[in-house]
This record gives sequence, C-alpha cells and structure tokens, in this order.
Amino acid sequence: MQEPILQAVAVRKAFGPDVVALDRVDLTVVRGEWLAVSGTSGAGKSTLLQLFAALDHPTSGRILYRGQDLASMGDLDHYRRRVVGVVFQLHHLLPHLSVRDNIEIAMMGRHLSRRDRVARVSELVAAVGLEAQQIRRPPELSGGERQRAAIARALANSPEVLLADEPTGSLDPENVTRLLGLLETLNRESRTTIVMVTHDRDVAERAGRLIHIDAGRIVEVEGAAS
Amino acid sequence: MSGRGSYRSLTFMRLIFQDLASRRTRTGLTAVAVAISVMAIVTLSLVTKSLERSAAAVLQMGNADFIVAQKGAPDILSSVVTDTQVVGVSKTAGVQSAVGALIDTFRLDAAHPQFLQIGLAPGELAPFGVKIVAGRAYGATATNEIMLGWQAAQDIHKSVGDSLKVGATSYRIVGLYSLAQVSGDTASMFPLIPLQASEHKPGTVTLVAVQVRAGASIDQVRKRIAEANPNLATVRLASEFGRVDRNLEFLKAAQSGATIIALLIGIIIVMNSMLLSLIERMREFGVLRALGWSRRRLVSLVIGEAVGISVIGAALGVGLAVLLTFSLEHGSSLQGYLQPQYSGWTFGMALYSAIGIGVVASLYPSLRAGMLRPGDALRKE
Repeated sequence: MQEPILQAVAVRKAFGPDVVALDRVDLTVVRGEWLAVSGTSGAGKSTLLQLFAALDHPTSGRILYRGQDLASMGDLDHYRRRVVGVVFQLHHLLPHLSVRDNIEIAMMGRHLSRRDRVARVSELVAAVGLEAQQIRRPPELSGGERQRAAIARALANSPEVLLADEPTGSLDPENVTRLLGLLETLNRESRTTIVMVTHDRDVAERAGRLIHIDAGRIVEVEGAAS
Repeated sequence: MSGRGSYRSLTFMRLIFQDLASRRTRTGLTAVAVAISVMAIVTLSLVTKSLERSAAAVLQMGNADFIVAQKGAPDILSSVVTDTQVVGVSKTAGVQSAVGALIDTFRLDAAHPQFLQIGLAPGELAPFGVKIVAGRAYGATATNEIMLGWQAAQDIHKSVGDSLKVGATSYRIVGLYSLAQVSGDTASMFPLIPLQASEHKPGTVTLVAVQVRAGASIDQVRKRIAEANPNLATVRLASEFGRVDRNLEFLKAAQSGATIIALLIGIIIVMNSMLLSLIERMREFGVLRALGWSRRRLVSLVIGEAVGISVIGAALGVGLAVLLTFSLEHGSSLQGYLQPQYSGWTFGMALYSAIGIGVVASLYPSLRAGMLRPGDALRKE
C-alpha cells in the first residue's frame, strides 16, 4: 500500500508580483520512494524542496505531511528537526566547526544524552566514510567530503524524508558514484524517503520516479511511485 | 582526540566559545569597548566610595550619637558652627555633651598631603573619647604644643618630646592619644583656641559631636536641635552625610551620570557589533533554523555570545580599573587623598555591569535573529 508522506496541493509560490517559482503544482511523495526532480535553472525545483522542508510558505495551496497541512502545524521546529533532513546545494556547513560538530549541532535541542550524541555522530561519520576527516573543518575538506558531511548532518536525527538539493552538482564522477551508493543504501535499508533535485539525467535515472519541472509546473513524470 | 568514543560533545557553551573564537578580532574589539565602560564604572565607583569613606570617617570620631554641622556646606571641612551655637546645642533638652571640634588638614610632607588636624579644648578631650596613651594633654592656650594619634606617630616615626614642623611653626609633641578609630588615630590634635587663631577662625568650630542622655530619644534630640538652628544639620548615618557635604553629593551625582553614560556607550557598541554579526551570519542562522533550532535557542545563542563578550570585557575592565585607580592613587595630584578598597562588591559590580550591557545590547539583535524565516535567511548572500 502506498502511503503518502508529503503532498503538494495546488501549490503556488511567487516572489513578488513578477516572479512565479511554482504554479499550481500537485505532487504526492509516498513513503520509502526515491523521487528525482529535474528541470532547468530557475524552473522551481529548489523552491519545491524548500516548501517541503518548511523553510518557506506557499503563496497559495497546501503542503501536507501525512495529510496534515504544515500551515496548521504548531511546531515546525520539530518537523524540521525530526521529519525532514535537508542537504543544501552549497552544503552550508558552518566553517568554524569540525565535521563532528557540524553533525552534532543538528541534534542540539533533542533530549539526548551527550554520550548518545557522540555515539550517533561517530556512527554517521563512519556511514559517510569521513572517519579520517571528522575533526577537520569544512575549509579543509574536498567538495565531495563536504557534501558527505552535509548528508551526515541531514541524517543526524534519522529523518523520515531526506530532501537533497543537487547534492552531486559540484562533485567529480567518482564522488557522484559514492554519494549515490550511499543514498541507495539509505533508501533501501532504512526506507528513508528521498526527494532529490538534480539537473543531471544520469543521476535522476537512479531514482524510482522522475518528475520534470519547467517554468514552475510539472510537465513530465517518468516511473511510478513505489 | 585519541580514538573512537573519546570525542567531546558539542555543548551550548562550547558552541558560544567557538563562535566567538572564530571572530577573534571583532570579539576582541567589542570586549575592549565593554572593558572601557566597565573600567569607567568601577574606577568612578572606587574613587567616590573612597572619598565618601574618608568624609564619613568624621562621623565616627567624637564618641558621639550624631554630629551637628552647617547645613549645605560645600564640604564638611568648610562647615562653620559658632561657639554660640555650640552652647545652644549643649543646652538642648536630652543632650549629655556637645563638643565643638575644629577640623582641617595641612600638608605634612609628600606622603601626607592631607594630614588631619583636630582642634579640641583640653577639657573636651574625655567627652570626645580621647585617651592619652603617652605623655600628657596640651595646655589650653599653648601655641606650640601638639598631640599625635598613636598610629600617626608610628607612621612618621615620632614620639613624645620630638618636635614637628607644621608650615613655619615648630611644635613639641607632648602626648600621644587614641580615639580607637583609624581616621582619628592617624591625625594630629591641637588646643582649640590657638588653632582657631592660626586658622583665622576665631569663635568657630567645624562640627559638634553630640552625646544624648541615657533614655532620651536620639531622633527627638536631633529634631529639637534642627528646629532651634535652621542653618545646622544633624548627621547620624553615612547616607545622611550629603546634608553637610554638598561636594560629596555632587560627586555621587556625577558618578551616577557617568555610569549611565558608560553603560549606554557599552550597550550601543555591543549592539552595533551584534547587528553586524547578524547581517554577516544570516545564512548561518537560516541553516540552524532549517536544522530545527527553535527561535528561543537561536535567541539564547545570540544573547549568550553577547554575554560571553561582556564577561571577557568585565575581566579586562577590572584589570584596567585597578591600573587606573593605582595610577590615580599614586599620581602627584591625588596622592594621599585616595585610598581605594577592593572588595567582592567591586568585582561583582563589574560583572553585573558587563552582563547587563551584554543582555540589553543583544536583545534587539537576538530577537531579529529569532524572527528570521529560514527560507529568507538562506537566500541572503
């Protein structure tokens, strides 16, 4: 049975009177699927991801999580902390903190003991293969290492949905392969739902379903939600 | 780190420290600004308290329940009470004794630029609480006899029989006394009439030390004296001292004004720094909100950083205040006048001032940080 986890219902997002990033978008993401979102620059891919991440409000329409409108959800902090994990296109790691601290900072505010937090960080660092770099700071890392650190941070609170905005955009082929392998493992083994924005056709084909956005509208869907 | 499991957890305090350490120059400069405010506040307070203590020490002399002096005198040593008024006070119902004392200072040497001299009639020594500990009392009209407080004698290495030059006059030390009180015991004592003559203040004293009869109400006696002598004021507590020492009141008012100005300057500088930091770190705050940080946690972070800067500023400020006060204490113009006392209160005041600066200055920037919408913050360049 396909269980909707995130839905966009007639979503419109405009920035001022002239810029419409999304226009009447309807989309359902089911639990456990890997959805790729492609499109040209400015098509509205990242805006859709931001709305799913509750970083912005739609101008009209609704974003639903398990049927509940985010606009009526009292504690969006909890949603951002526990339901979704976001990997930003430019990773947005804090440059003055080590890889470990960048991951752990996402867990601050949860009722976890220090020991549990330290253990969870060690687990994530090992999962993304950054054990040797864990006390380094972002400026000392390669692009691939930074992106892996960002994924580890996004996974820190074991989110139900991983929202990744062009995570392979700045990576070389070897790191792209490694990163996609990591996402596949995550999707397959822990049934983490993945919504990944990409403009790379090869990367998009690794997902179970691909939607194409153009000028703020979904114009093409390949594959079915699984 | 040495191996798996030995890593430190990221605490809120460590995060604040790392945030501040990552912007060393701004943190340092802002802390210096706070330090200058704290230095001004602490130094002014130390100086005022020292002068207040010196002035109020007069209250403790004379074995009195309260003193009577000229109302609204510029300072206590400028107070003028006539012999007639002294007699009037002594005849007030409920008064046991009323001792008129002429008090002034003279320059003994560089180390004692404000050496206290007390003029008392020999017959008033006992009621004033004077005990002769060596030698004898001076004669009532002796123009070249002096007594020294026993601590003053030790300090300047004099004893009974020695001579002491005051201005152009050479005095013979005829006795050492104790008033069981530091200010009195580090002073000198002269017969009243010759001192009035040499100071060109015939028939006047500076203050009257009043003892009340057993069973009489001190407040009632004070009231009677005040009613009978409208130009005199009675003082029992140090907090009332401003009634007979306007300069001290002016000094305290100036201290309050300067403290407010120093606090405002500190607040404005820290607020400016925190606002600049907010603009620079907009995206960082957006990331934290995107990671699920609550507004309250973000507000706490900004306030915590401001308080962290302020605590550094407090430590620096106390150090600067001690240096400045030391230089004032030993500088040529104030040498001997200033005797600052450092206490927990001094350091507590510095810390509270600095924390106050930090909290007030960070309120607006922290609220702005808390109100940021993550999406907007992440779009900022």
